[in-house]
Amino acid sequence: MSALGYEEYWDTGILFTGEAQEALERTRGDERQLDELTPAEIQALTILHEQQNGLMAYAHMAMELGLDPSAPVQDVKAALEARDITLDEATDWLPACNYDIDCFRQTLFWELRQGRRRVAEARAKRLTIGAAVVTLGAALWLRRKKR
Amino acid sequence: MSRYVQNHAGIYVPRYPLGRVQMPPQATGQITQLPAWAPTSDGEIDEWAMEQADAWARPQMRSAIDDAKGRITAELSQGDPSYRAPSGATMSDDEVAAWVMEDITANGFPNSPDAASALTMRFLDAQGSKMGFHPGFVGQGAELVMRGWPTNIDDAAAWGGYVGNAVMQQYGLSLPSDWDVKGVTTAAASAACLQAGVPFVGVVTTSIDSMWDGKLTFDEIEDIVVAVGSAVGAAVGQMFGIPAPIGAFVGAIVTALIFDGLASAFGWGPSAAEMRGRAWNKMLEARAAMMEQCMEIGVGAWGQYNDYWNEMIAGFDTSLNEYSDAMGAGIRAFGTKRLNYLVDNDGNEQVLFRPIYDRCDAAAGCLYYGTYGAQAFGYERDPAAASHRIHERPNPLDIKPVPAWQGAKEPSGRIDPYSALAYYGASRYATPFQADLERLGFDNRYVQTAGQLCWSGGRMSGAYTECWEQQLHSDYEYLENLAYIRTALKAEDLEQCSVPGWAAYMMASLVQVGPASAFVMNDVSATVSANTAEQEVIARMQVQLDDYNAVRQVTVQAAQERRDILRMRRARASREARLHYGALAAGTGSLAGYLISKMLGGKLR
Repeated sequence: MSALGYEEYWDTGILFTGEAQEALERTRGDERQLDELTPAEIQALTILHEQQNGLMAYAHMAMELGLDPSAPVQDVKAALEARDITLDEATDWLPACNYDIDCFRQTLFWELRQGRRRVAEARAKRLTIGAAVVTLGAALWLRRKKR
Repeated sequence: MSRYVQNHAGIYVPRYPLGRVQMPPQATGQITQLPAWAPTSDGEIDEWAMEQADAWARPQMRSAIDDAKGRITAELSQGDPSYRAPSGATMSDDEVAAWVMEDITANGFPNSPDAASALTMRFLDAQGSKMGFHPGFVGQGAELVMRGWPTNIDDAAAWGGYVGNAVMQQYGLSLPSDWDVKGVTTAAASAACLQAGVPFVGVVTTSIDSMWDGKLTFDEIEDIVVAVGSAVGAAVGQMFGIPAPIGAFVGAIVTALIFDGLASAFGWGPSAAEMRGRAWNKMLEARAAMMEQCMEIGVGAWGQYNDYWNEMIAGFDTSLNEYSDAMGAGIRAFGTKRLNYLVDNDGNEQVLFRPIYDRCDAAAGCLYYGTYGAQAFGYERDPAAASHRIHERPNPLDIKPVPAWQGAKEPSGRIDPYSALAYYGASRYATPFQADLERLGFDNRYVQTAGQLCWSGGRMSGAYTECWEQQLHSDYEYLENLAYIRTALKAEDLEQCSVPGWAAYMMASLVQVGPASAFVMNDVSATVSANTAEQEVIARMQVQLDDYNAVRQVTVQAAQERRDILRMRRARASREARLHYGALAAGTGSLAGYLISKMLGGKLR
């Protein structure tokens, strides 16, 4: 598990949600420009933005996995593991992209492609071992018959 | 208690702004120390406004004044503006003979002094009816005559008051029957002075006080009667919105007519023509004297007005700027404020000439003169109040307009009290010219141009070629040129003292300052309070943000590291797997090939 998974991340984010919302409302009420906001208000809005990106990232991922955008975490987890991806590593993608949604989307596609490749490689691995076992067995059988 | 007080210079000033609205605290640090009467919360403001509305809705004064004003205005607007009725025509000799015969037939020949007196009374009633007065008026007036022709100022003043009352009766108005002539006349004139007709204080008090005792000639008495009638007419007219000179003129003419009628009826005094001529001359003299006094009193009132502003603005400025640092971007308005009039200590309504209506739905308040104006924020402003966003600098002779600062805060960070007060329609700039513009209903104020445009309405461009705004003028010049400007504007020469209207305008301006300053201080208090609360929230957020930033930084860094390590491991594992399993597959393939070849070789052999 990463230092901050989705749940922890949300727990942290929720602390700011109310005040960030207030800051947002305040800016709407005054129709102030961004350069008129205080640094704290800007940061609060940034956090709010990140939280919204988190929701979008989850929805994107679920849809790419063939699930409903609001699918439960267990289903997402199962779908990811079928592609040789753990939930922990998936939760790292957005923070690793510095919470940028476009970067996340590219990472998602790349990692899913890599996952499919790993699954294919694993299948090839199993096939190779099977073939080796069969071949070896056949060789032994022939030698014994020859004697 | 009067609504007005006389100051050390003898000038009447409204009691309300000086006595009722206390000065803002002199930098005592008590920002919540608002005037005692001022509402301190939005709820109280609403409640207060409702109370005011209820009080104002009471029918007495309102309906009476509106009714009387309507009638007087209608009378004065018909035909000759001087006066329409009464006709002044008396009965001819034939009519008198016919009336006497008819009266003797009905009542018998008078055979006693009482019967003769009664006949005289009836005759005067008939004569008065012919002249257009109410029945009984001339007869009652004749009682005074029967007691003796007025020979001193008391009687003359009584006459003057009596005929002044007749003026009012003509318009359906009345004064108390037992009124004290001197007191009421002086009071009425004073009221007129304060309301609008300043010059009459001098006219009435001088003429009455200087000749109160001693025997007078007929001419002198006539002059006094006409003068007092004139003053009463002016005073009454002023009370109902009629300009003082017109009221005085009406009063003088009516007085002269009555005097004429009574004197003719009894065969006393000069001819009617002489009396009317003398009354005219008296009026012209009085008008000239009035204009002189108009000047003096106007300048005195102007000084008093500016003294008040100087005193008020000093304390207000200090109070505002004590909290300028805590004001943020400037003063913000909160909630809804609606105010049309105030009620003074005497229960009299002081109607604001710039009604206050301000609404702000934003919880964080609305910055004074916010960037996007009223509509963008959905709060409404009264158009008249909104047009007063431009105020002028303290120097009344410098007519350059200075825009109100956003948030009433100058770039230097100082709170500008004039900008703040202008938000609620209070402006110091109240010259005669300004009063005239307001009276004529011009919304646009001076425009600052280097060209010949004298104001944005453009009406003066053709008629008034010299641009008044391009120069600085003394107060006297303002007064002197006011008539000229009026002539240019209205193509008629009113020839009336401008001080009444000007004084009323100044008084209205002072009345506006009271609620405006209270509202501003209310907003200042709320702004400081809101800013303080906001700062606390921001500070609390900052602590959390600092924590969050630290966690966030670690999270991002760790996630990237884990991602990179995982990718690297997987790539290496993939490479190794390809190598190992490639070799395994190759070996398996070789072995399989060998076995297959052996099997096939055996069969072949």
